[in-house]
Amino acid sequence: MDFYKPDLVKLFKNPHNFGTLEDADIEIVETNATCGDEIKMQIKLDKKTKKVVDVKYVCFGCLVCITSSSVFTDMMKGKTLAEVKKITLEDINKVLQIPITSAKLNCISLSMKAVNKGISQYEQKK
Amino acid sequence: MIKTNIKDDFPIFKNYPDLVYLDNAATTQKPRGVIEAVSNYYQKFNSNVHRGLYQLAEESTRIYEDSRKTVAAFIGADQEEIIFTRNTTEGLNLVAYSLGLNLKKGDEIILSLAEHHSNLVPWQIIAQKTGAVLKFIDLNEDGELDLNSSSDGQKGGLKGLLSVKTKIVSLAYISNVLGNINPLKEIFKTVKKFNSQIICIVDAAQSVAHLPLNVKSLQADFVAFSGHKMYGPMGIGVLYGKKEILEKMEPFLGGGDMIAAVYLNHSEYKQGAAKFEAGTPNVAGALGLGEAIRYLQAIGMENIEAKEKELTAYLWERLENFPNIKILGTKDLAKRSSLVAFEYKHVHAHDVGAILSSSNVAVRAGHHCAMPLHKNIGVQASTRISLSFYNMHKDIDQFFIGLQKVGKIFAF
Repeated sequence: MDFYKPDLVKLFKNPHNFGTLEDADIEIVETNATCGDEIKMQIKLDKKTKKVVDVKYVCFGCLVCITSSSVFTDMMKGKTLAEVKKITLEDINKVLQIPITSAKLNCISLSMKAVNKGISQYEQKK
Repeated sequence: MIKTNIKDDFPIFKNYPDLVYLDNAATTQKPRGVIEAVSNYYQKFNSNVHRGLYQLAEESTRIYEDSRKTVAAFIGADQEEIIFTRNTTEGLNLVAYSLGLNLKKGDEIILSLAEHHSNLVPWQIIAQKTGAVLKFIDLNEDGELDLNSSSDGQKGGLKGLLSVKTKIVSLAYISNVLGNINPLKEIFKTVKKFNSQIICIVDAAQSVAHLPLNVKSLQADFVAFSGHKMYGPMGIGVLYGKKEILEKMEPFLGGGDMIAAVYLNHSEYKQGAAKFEAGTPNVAGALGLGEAIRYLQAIGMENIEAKEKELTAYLWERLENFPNIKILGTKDLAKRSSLVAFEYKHVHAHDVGAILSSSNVAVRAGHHCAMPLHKNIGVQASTRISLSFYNMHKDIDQFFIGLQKVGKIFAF
């Protein structure tokens, strides 16, 4: 069982899309109940096409949490919210290729849970 | 002295000779005698208690009540003051619901900032239902309970928080994150001197297997603990309750075995502990717990304490000087138990735990069911080592081999 492959450790140290946005359309904070980790995610949409033009997150998390958030946010860019909602854990894990244990399920799905919650709230507001 | 081959008493280490089990605060491993007692019960004694008129039922009832006597003697209580529960959480909920629901709006419950969720969430529920108010004993830099400061309205020192409205004080004997042994004897003495009617409750989950416990000298009104953290089976726990208070309390759960007489629209209840044990109890669990206590008594609690102190000192000396490690809780080893949680700078506790696991070392990583405490001390998650008397120096050495791996993998 190895989460700690050199390429993942490298990505963990320099994750993509880490940080904050000034003018996000969707903003959400989600907590991982197992470890208490908090993720703050922000999404910026194109005014006309409503596709994701930028997405950022801030989280102090484990390697699985950070790398999965990095991969997921990369995948979101250029997609509509409907398309974002269709991204699955399996899609993310095709890139990471790690064993998803019951303890790690919450970590790998934290950013996805946050985004789905954020999208529902955004759609309800419309 | 504890024999050097003590691990031989625990079958799990025969099945996993390389297992370095340092998660004893989550649950302890079970000695052979306990496992056999549980198995033996179902093979030789299985029948319901307090009901049957046949020999087997008599035996089962005797076994169950004998275990109650064993528990009572172990903590200096009377047997009618021992309620069997599932675990510490259930014991604390029992008190919260049976006693706490009588609280009035504005009554105050004092907890500390270092409580496990099981000694916080039930009181939050009661406060929401009754309008009672939660107050929290603050911690100093070392995580020790503040006994003297004034209150800011929500938190402060014990003396600052005590008021005419205080009805309940409920505290952990040992913090499951900080490892601090709280001076409960001193605290309860102060509380009872202030107002002898204030109910003093102990969450003894982390202390019962490590420190001798005498409910009377502690002046505790209630003490809750779990069997599985003291070498007994899972699913059996104990709530000690002072007889005079139990008599006045409403039942927690209603049903069979707790009643004296039942009519269509009302019932009369049994007295004492029996009032709080509705339905078929965990008889095999109680027997296993009794066996666990006999096992601990045969070793001697003072020997256990001495061995665990020695192991903790051995761990402490290296951990304290390990690069990038910040230990949580007091640095005064005399005030600590055998659990030590730490933060590894820049590395998440889940990663520390997973890397240790690849070295066969089992530890706990996360917020350990104490989210408010972690927030208060500015730590999101920590890694916790919790030692038992069966651990050895080489277990701790193996832990450090794993910990060195963490540094190598992340190479900060």
